[in-house]
Order: sequence, then structure tokens, then C-alpha cells
Amino acid sequence: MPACTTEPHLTFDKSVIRDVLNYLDKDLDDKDFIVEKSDKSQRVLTIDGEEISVKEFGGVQKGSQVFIKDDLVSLMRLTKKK
Amino acid sequence: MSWFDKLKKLIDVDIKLSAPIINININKSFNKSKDSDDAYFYDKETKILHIHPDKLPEEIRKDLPNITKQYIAEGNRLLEYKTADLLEKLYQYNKDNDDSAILEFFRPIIPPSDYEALEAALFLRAEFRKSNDVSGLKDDIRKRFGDRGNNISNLCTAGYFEEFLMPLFNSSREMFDRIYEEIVMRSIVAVFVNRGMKPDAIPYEIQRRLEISKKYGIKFIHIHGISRANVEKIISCIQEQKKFFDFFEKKIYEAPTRDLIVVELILK
Repeated sequence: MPACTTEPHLTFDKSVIRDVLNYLDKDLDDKDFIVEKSDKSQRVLTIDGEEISVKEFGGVQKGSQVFIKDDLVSLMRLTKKK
Repeated sequence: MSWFDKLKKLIDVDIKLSAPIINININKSFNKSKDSDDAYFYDKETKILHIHPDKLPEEIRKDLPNITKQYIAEGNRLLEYKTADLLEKLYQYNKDNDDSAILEFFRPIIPPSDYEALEAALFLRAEFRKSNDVSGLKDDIRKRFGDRGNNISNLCTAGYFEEFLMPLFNSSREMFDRIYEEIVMRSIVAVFVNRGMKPDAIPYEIQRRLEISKKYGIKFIHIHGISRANVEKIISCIQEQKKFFDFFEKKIYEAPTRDLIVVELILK
């Protein structure tokens, strides 16, 4: 958890990933990649321009909803971006 | 109205919902009891309010998507709980870490992808030194950088980057250029015994590496083991394969806790 910040934070547990994707108008294609609910051929991209599967889903940030992978290197790169 | 004000207005729980005392986690697994209809659980220790979306009254549940979207639109990152934890550790590491000299040293002399693997490996090592579980981090490095990344991670954790490769580069740039690839691709100076490795494989792995390293005048090899099972595997291998190990001068460094071992073998 972001312990050193003073603002409250909203997080989600792995158990609600499908719900969260639904809140964000996203769905999964037949290979379990995250896609737009309105266009299932449109896979969403991470900040590094990679497609992302539900297993790798770590979160979202602003910028027409930029998706974040949950692995060490993706997060390491994220710490270097503003 | 901010996302948090909207949420506070909606939910009615017996705790004071004000920053910075609270974080909110949407979670279906905190309440596994079928008999309980609790929609909220406030963990006093972590100061986290867990919300079970399926157990919220319909009028509140229907607002969760908008609140979530607004949270992101206000410039916040919406993160999975463990991802948020790892990201926080990375920010903290970047702030406190004393590995920057190692990174600065290697940045101009190794390929960019090795540099990134080294950066990840140094963070893993820092977590390992705090006795945190690093198996997930190790898997992440292997998935991203393959066997080469796994070797970099093992070599880094055991200190080879600053204790072997740095002095090697400083003494001979030419020698460094010749053997760096063999070290990160084939791990010629060390065998890292893991759970899946059978005891019989240890002498074979030593032999395989020595055949290459001898060409470069390297006359030693180290065997590393972490965890009691791996330590025992190494010790029993040395006892059982006495004939093989008698070819070397041996130095054994074993932690008193018996969960870490380094065996240095020097060609006689």
C-alpha cells in the first residue's frame, strides 16, 4: 500500500479484477487479453505499448486509461516516468 | 465533489473516513464466510477499509464504477493491492538505495537489457537482504530476460558484479570484454544450486563451466546454495562424490543457521 502518501488511495484485490475491468468498460478476448468492451478486437496497451493479459493486470492510470502490468520490470520503469 | 467525498457520502461505516488514516481496498476475499453479509471490513492494524462489492446495497454498488473512473481521472493510479505494495517498495528503494554506484559503473559497459536486468536484480537483492520473499521477483526477472536474466540475478545476489566483474574490468578491459558474455550467459564462475537440481547434476555443472573458464585462465568455481534443503544437497554431494571434489582445494563457508552455503573450489 502507498504508505508514505497522505492522500487516501483506492486499490483492488486480485479477487475483483473482473469487476474492476467491468467498471472501466473493459472486457477479455478469447485469449484473456484485456480489450475494449465496445470493440473486442481492440486490445488495450500498457505504458510501454504492450498488450496485457488479465494475469498481468496490475492497474490503470490516467492518460486515456494507461494499463499497468504487475511485474517487477514494468513497475521499475513506471517509477522513472512522471 | 472528489471521488473520496462521494465514497464517504455513500458508505456508512463506524470509522472516521478521513485522510490520511484510511485506504480503501475493493476486495471479495476478506470475507469468505457465507453466513456473513458484511460489506465492509476495517483492518485497524493496516488502516485499510476493505469493501466487498457484491455485498454492498445496490444503490451504492451502482456508483462504484463512476467513483473508480473519477479516481483515475483525478490523476491517481488505481492499482491491484500487491502491485501497489511492490511499487511503493520500488519508490522507497530508489530513494534509499546505495546501489547507484554499481549501476553507474555498469551502465556504459554492458548491454541495455543486461543493465535493466541488473537494476531489477539489485532491487531483488535488497529485498532478499531484508529477508522478504523474493520468489515472485525472481520469476519476473526470468520471464522478462530469460536464462540470461536469471544468471544476472543469481550473480548479482551473490555479489559477483561488484566483487568480481568490477575489479576484472578495472584490471583489464580486454579480459572483461572477453569473458563477460560467458559469465552472464553460462555463469562460468558459479553454480547456483536450486530446488529442481538433482545432486548428480552438481559435478556435471561444475565440469561444464570449468571447461570454458579454464580457457580464460580462471581456476576457481563457486557453488552457492540458499535454503536448508539446498545446503544439505551440496554437503551430501561433496561427501558422496569425494573422488571428484578431491581434484580441488575446497573452502566451505556455511551460515550458522545452515540455510546458506558457498563452496569455493580451486583447481590444484
